[in-house]
Amino acid sequence: MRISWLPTLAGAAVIATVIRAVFFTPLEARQGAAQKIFYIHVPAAWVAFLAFFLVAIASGVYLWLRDPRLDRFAESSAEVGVVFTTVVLITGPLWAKPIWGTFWAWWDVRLVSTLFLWFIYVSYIVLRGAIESPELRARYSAVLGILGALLIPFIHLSVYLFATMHPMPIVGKPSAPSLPIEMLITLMISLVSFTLLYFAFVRARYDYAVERDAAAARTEHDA
Amino acid sequence: MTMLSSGMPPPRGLNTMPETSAYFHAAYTIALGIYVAYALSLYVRLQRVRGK
Repeated sequence: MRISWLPTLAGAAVIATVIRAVFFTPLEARQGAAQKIFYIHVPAAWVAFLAFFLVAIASGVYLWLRDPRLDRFAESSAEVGVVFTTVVLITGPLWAKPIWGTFWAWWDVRLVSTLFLWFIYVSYIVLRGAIESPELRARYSAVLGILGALLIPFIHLSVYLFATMHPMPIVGKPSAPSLPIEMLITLMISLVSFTLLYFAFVRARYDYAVERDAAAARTEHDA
Repeated sequence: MTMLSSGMPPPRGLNTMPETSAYFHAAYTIALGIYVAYALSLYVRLQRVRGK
């Protein structure tokens, strides 16, 4: 059996990250163990944004070059992005409940816009399943993939633009990060590990799309 | 993580929040469960399309 290096590396990195976050990273004095949700929530959000940003880039280039490989990549990245956004939308409320006192607040712009982003890319997947013509499917979904990614800068800037329960950035701010160094290192390792996991998932999902399209072409040829 | 007992009460917030700990366990279990489930779904779909 052939062992692929990327999924193996990504899986090992994620396991090592979780071990470091759970057993070797100090507890936060006021939030206790709940603060450790940070090490899976923030990387999931970063990967989701990366995934949808790359969907938009691949979709834009697809509309220009009409290369089906770009459509397959966009399709793969969108699906993986939905998985990571689902993790964001579940781990966020689980962190919010003990710290903010509530799972969800409909007036919080970052929460609601992230949910909206999730709906847009779920719609993207539904749209792809609803159109039979490959060219039409690729073109329509490319437009939706680009439009959906316009939400990403809005979600990122929402903490500056609106009153939300989300804190201001403590790592990605103009001055030096205010996070203690042990926590910062765990966060950085976590960002790298989950980014690797994203590439492993997209690679596998892309391989599936290639094989599926080849099988469909064979069926069409035989008929 | 090695923890040594000094006989002193733990600092405020350290191991004194079982309800907080439950949310932490739930978040990690669900998040990792989602990733494993997705990896399995990819594996199954790949095997199916390859006709294995």
